[in-house]
This record gives sequence, structure tokens and C-alpha cells, in this order.
Amino acid sequence: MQLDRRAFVKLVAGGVGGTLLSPLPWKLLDDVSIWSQNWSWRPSPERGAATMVNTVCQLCPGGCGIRVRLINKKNAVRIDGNPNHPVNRGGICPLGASGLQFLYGPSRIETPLQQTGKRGDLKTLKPISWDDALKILAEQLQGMRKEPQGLVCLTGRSKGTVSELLARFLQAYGSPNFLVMPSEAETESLGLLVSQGEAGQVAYDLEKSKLVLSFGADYVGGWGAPARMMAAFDGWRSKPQGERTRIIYAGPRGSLSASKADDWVAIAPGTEAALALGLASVIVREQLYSQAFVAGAFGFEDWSDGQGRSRQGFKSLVIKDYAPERVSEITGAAKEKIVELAREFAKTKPAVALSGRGQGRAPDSLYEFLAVQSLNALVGSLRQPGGVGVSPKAPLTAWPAVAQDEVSKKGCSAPRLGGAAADVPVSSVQNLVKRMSEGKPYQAAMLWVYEANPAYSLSEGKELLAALEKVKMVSFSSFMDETAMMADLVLPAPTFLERLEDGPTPAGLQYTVFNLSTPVLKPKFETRHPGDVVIKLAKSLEGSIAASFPWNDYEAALKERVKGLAAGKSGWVAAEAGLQPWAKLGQTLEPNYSSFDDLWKKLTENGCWCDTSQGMGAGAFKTHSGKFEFACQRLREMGVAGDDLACLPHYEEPVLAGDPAQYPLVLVPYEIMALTNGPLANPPFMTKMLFDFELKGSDLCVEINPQTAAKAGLKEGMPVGLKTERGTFRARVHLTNVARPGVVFIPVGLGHRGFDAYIKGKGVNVNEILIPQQDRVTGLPTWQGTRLAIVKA
Amino acid sequence: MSGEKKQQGSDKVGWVLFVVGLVGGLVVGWVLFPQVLYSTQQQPLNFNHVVHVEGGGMNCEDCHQFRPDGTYAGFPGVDNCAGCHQAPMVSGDTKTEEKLIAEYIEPGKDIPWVSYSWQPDNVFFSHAAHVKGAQMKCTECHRDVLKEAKTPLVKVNRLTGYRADTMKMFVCEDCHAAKNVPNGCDVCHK
Repeated sequence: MQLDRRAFVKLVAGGVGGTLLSPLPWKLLDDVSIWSQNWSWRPSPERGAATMVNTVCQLCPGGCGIRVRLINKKNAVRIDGNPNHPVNRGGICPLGASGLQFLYGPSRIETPLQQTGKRGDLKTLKPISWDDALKILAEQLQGMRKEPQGLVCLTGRSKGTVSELLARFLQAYGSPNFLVMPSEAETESLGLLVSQGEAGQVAYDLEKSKLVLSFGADYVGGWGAPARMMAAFDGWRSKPQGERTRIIYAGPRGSLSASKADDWVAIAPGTEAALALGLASVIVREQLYSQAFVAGAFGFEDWSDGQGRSRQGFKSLVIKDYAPERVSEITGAAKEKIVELAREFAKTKPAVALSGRGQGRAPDSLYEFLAVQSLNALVGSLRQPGGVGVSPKAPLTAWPAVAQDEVSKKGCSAPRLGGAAADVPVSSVQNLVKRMSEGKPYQAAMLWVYEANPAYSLSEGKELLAALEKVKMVSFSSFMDETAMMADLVLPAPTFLERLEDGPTPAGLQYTVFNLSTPVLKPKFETRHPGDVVIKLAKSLEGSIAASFPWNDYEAALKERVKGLAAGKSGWVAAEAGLQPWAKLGQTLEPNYSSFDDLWKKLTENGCWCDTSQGMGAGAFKTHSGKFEFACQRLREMGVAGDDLACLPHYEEPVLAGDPAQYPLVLVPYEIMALTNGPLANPPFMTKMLFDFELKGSDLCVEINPQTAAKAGLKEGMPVGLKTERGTFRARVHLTNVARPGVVFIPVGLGHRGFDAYIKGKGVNVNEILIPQQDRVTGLPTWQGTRLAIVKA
Repeated sequence: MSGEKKQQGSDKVGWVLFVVGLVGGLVVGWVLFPQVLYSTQQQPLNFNHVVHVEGGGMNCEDCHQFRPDGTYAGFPGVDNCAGCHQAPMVSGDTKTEEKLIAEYIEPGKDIPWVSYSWQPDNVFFSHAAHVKGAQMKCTECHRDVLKEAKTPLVKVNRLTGYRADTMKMFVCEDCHAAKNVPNGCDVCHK
């Protein structure tokens, strides 16, 4: 038999026909289409049982309770708000919801690092063991001990047990240079000290307010405790018609809060104090103020000081200097509007005015704070339901006094490198940078940085890096931020999900909160708790330093403080939904725990202890007069320059850097919820929330009014150069009516050079061209504005 | 003439060859291809359902459980086995039990059972919605194991990694359509 061509074709045709009648081709076709679904190298989350663990978010000072969803008790897959936590009541902000991207993101520092080459060179920042790192640090500290005041610690967190331990270490070692990053909380605390006699933070009883007047406070944009504010806003807006809380927003930018308010009073940037005093002037002139409160206050009428000299009081000041006509000229708000607003504010009860522009984190001038709070006092809202007061402090046990040897005592008596011109208990980082670079009055030798990113967040970032030439820097950062990149030694901390950490009462709260974050999973890397590091370091040093740290570890030190809560016999561990502590203000709460051990156990399970027994302040004020002081006598004692005005809230026209002829516009930075601007950088989830008129590709967009743009010949999206006396950067313009004519608004939080590929190089950092004013009392940088010119890109 | 004959003979041979090809194709497609396409995997241990159900008087739910939060727990953990087999209890063939105790119960290690119907990560499937919600029987989707004394081999597709028994999407869709429940993409693909 011979197989010819035709026969072969038939064989093949038969074969093809047979195959087509089998599943082979169809199955293969299907398999090819689902081929990639089970690739072994494709990331696949582990499956398993889910558990929820309660803890507290530490990504901002907002103090929200969160629940972390874990798979197989080791992989965190989601963060939700904890409905039992009274602060956020189940709510969560974008930063908290993105929290896992900090835990698993690529910017984590995995081991201690030592710079072996030139500062800032990441290739020579080499891993080192914890034992070696601590040995090196202990040796350096031992060597510096003759001049202990050369040790400087800069923290982004003024409260909490780690900061207390750091401050304690500096005191025991012999340095007065414990500094907090510039913060409105510092201004607020000083303001309360001089007007009400006690440092602390302002408590706003917002849940009961009938009228809320915000002086630039972005109440739904991250001001105060952000999730609490969202819940409060929800409460104001959920009331039936007629009982709805009225919201008035005064500020230069049409922020989210301006758009959610019933009324937006657009004023010139930096004139909030003038507006507040203008309202006060109308209220005083029309006698709409609370006669009862004013009768019991000091400095409303003219007064005489110890030497019998007559001094100006608040009443004559506002009548003389802040008539609506003049305030209208300063602020740009209509005279009639000022009068109308004043009447409404005085007649609606309870009414409350909010201070702290933007998110209330960047410092404002002390006198602006005093002006707004005087307005609250004037209408009798102080210590009243729906009004303001002082946030009560949690009754934590005080640690034993620090043991100080001679070296320590001498060192601590040296002048503070961050001291302001006046003798105020505020630390100025601007002054620190200046004195560090001058080497006067003495040379700083080592800088510790904890929960702060000064190389990014300070306008003096460059000056700081120059000043660091002669200084060793130690970073406790969990992430490769701009400051850690410049460090000589990095001692990485575990993230907030991997460590024990306490949290104080969040900003603006009217009841006491003690938050406790517990580790929801084991540390992913070779990190150590900064509290443990400080204690270990202290124990390895000579002198009396070790004696000041009688605890084995951070947990022991923390537990000792928490014992005070159990001893207080009032307060709840928030373990059920629907707690409304603000409704029980001033009442003693029957504790829902039996002993310290029980309290600790419940705290670690639930995360929050709260109490209402102290209210928002009661009894005599601890000022010299024993009264609320409109004229703050203590400011004169502190050596604040200026005659009568030194003690009185007043408006000072900001002196903006730059010649108006050369720089015709004004730059004002602003904050938004979609951009974090503390020690952290945006996680990818949050960056996704930015609109393309905020960040277009890698270009930052700045807000400018269409009128201003037309004059300069600018069109939407055009790239421009923005120039101030400090520098120039490139951005695109976004034309919008939320921007006041003549002002360029620039968001804070972009332009990172550190962290990871997801945020690096996106946008520009406004701090690089911003020239803040230094508040003349506190020495803190304030964002009143910087003169700016638009140049060719 | 002879040319014509030759031609006819060649035609016959040709048709025979066609049938040979056809049969060959069918054999390749129906018999050889599945054998080549699937690899087989042995379970780490033989599990005798008959002995446990008929001999031990156990219910399905004693091992195949829902977690308290409603999610299906998947394969039973080794704790389930340890409840009875902490010490040897089997008479007769004790090899499997010896292995169970020595390799899994004593070290507290879960038995790495291989799933017969593994769905990839792009599928969101809730057992609770089907069993508790729609009151479906396990056997509507899975094989009936009650009479199974020997665990069958697991057939795994060499190309895709899918198990031979993994339910295909059209089966899900047909059932959803028949029962008039939503069939949109986002029901199963989140």
C-alpha cells in the first residue's frame, strides 16, 4: 500500500475531525483564557478566620478608636472605626482607613541604621544591630556629658508617655532643650495660661452649641479631632428645621467648611483677630454681652496695675480701635455684615467661636487666639453647656521626681536653645535652628527626632540641615522620611499597630479621654519601642540618670501612670456603642471596672477610658486676679514688649516678607483631609483622593481667583513659576472662585523627597518657598502669608 | 481501466485512513488529552468518610463547620481530629492513624488537605449565603462523600492550576438564573 498525498490529507482530515468532536480544542481555549488566574507568583492573600481587634489610631492626634480586621490573627486586612469609641463613634478618616499602608508599605525602616559615609547618602546608611547601635549612642552620650545641654530632643508629639520619658531623659541627663514641633496647641496652652491661669487645651462643647462661628477653623476638614467633628457636624445638621445649629465660617478661602456653613464671610488672610474684635466692639457698644460674666472678670473695664498706673481695659480697646468701619477696612467684610454677625452671635445661646485656622495644627498668633476666646467669654459661653472651657486632664499618677546630679542641674539651668524673646513656656524651633547654626549661646551636639519630620515640615528645613553639620542626629522614625534620611543613627520604632502607646484627650474635647493603643500584631521588622530604647539607654549611663528610670520597660512606666485612673473612682472604659460622655458633663461616672488590673485588661481590649467628672473647669481661675482676665497680666510679667496692648488681645497687621511691587500676590498655605501633613507622608489610598485640579500627574496645582489669573494672563492648568524671597518652584494654576483675589493658595503635604516611590516627587513642598512670620510672643512660625510673584515656568 | 481500478483502490484506502484519523483524533481528545492535561495529587492521608459517619456516628457538621461570624471554615483543623484521636483508637488498619497522630496531632500541625474545588482569588464565594441563606445541600455542588471509604485523587489542570472539579462560571450563572438571584459581575467578582 502506498500513502499518496490524497490519502494523507484524508488521514489528517480524519484526525482533525476526531479532535474537533472531542473536548480538546474547546477545553484548551477555555484554559488559555483563565491561564493567569492561579499563577503561583501572583500575590494571594492568605485565607482563614477573621478576627477584629480594637485599638486606637495614632496617625494624628485625633484619638479615634479603630478596629483592625486580622486574618489568622497575623495579617491585617482592614481598618474600621470602632463604634464603641466615644470620640469617633464608628467614624474613620481617610488617613486612618489607609493605616495599613504604613504597616506594609515600602518606606518602613527594617533595622537600626548607621550612616557610615556622607550624611544623606542612603547607600552608606548601613544596617547595624540594636546592641551596637545602643552602644554607640551610649558612648557618644557619655562623651557629651560634660556639656549635657548640647543634647536636643525634637518631638512632634507634646503629650503621651513616650514624650514624657524623652523629656525625663533630657532632664536627668542635664538638658533644657526638649522641644515640640511648632503647633497651635502650644499657642492655645499659653493663651489659657495667661487668660485663665492654667495651661491646657480648649474644650468645645460643640455637641450642644446652637451657633458655631469658625475663625478659619476647618471644622469638617481636619480641625480638632477630625472624626469627632464629622460626628458633631452630623448632629448639627440632623436637628429638625428651626433647631438646626447655625454655622458661620470666616476665612479667606472657600474651604470645605466654608461650603458647608450657612454663611461664609470672606475676609483678607490673617485678619481673623480683627474680625473677632470687631464683633466684640459691636457687642460691647450695644451692651449685648453677658453682664454677669463680665462683672466677674478682670480687665474688661480700665484697670490699674500694682504701681497704681491706669491701664486700658478690653472694653475701651474694642470701642476705640475696632469699630465696624475700621474692621471692615482691615478684613474686607462689609460693615453691615459685621454688625449683623455680632448681634447674632450675642443673641443666640449657646454660641461658640472656634480658634485655630485650618486644621488647627499650624500655630496662629497668640493675640488672635485671645481675641477669639475673649469673644466666647464676652457672651458668657465660658464654662457653659454648648460653650467652651478647658479640657480636663486625666488623673494619671505622677512619676517620682527626676534624680538630678550636679552635671544635670548645671546643664538644665543653661538657657533654652528654643526659648522665645519673652519668658514663655513655649519652645520655638525657628529659634533653635538659628541658635544651632550660630553655635550660640552654646553648641548643640546631638539632636534626637521623634514623631517629627523637621527636614520636610519646617520652612527652615535647609537651614536646619546646614546647622546639623556640627551635630549628630538620631531619628526614631518608623519610615524613611526626609529627616531619617539625614540621620547619623536611625533607631526605628514599630508602627502604631505593632506597639503599646497611650494617647491624651484629643484636641477640642470637653470630657477626659485616655486612649491606649495595643499591638494588634507582632512587629514585622527589627524595631524597638522608643520608650524601651530610652529606658535601656538611661540604664546604661553613669551618674544619676539610671536612677530616674526605675522601670524595666515602657509598659511598666506606663502602667504606673495609669494606676491614677483606677484610683480616681470615676470614669468608664468605652465598651459599648452609644456612649455620650458630653451629655453627662460634670457628673461622676460609676466606674465599670473593679481594680487597676481589671481597668488595664479592659483598656487593652477596648482602647478608651473616658470621664466627665471634671466638667470643663469650675471654681476660681488660677490667674492673679482669680478671675478670667481680658487683660492678661501674666503676659507683662513674662516680659512681653508693648505697653497696655501687651496684655490685651489685639490685631497686629502682619508684616509679609517681600516687596509688594516685586511680589504683588500673597501666598497662603492650606490643609486638606486628603493630604496628611504631620510627620507622615500620604499613603497611596489617600493620594488617589486628590482631584486633578489639586495634583495633575506630578504637578501641584495652586488655587488662584479667575480675576487675578486674567490680569496675569493665566489660563486653567497653565504651568507657572511661583517665586518668593525664599525660592521658586513650578506648579500649575487652578482657577477657582474659592480663592480670594490677589491670593495664591497652596496645599500643604506634597513634594516629598523621602518615603516611597508612591509619594516621592509628587508635587512640591510649600515650605520650601514659605516665609512664616514669627509670633512675637511665642516665637512660633505663623502662616500669615508670604509675598509671591508669578514668573515664567 | 487499470488506472481507474487503481484509483478506486486508493480511494478505499484513503477512507480507511480517514476513519483511522478520526478514531485516533477522538481517542487523543477524549482519552489521552485529559490524562496529559491533569496531574493527580494524593491527599496527605486517606480519610474514610464511611467509617466516621456510619461507624463513628458523626454528622457532617462535626468537621465541616461555619465560624461564629458566619464564614465557612474550610478544611477542619487538626484540633477536630485530636478530639478523638489524641490516643490511638482504631483497630485493624492502624497505619493511617499512626501517621495522623505522629505527623499532625502531636506537633499540632494542620493536615494539608488539597481542595477539590478551589476557586481562585478573583472569585468571591460565600458558603454561608448558599447553605444558610439559600438552604442548599452540600451535594448540589460537591460530590457525595457519604459512601467514600477512600479519598479520591485530586486532578489539577497543568495549564491553569484549576482543579478538575472546580465549578465553572456558567454553572454558577445557570443556577443563579434558574433561582432568579442576581447574576451581575459584582455578585462574585468584587
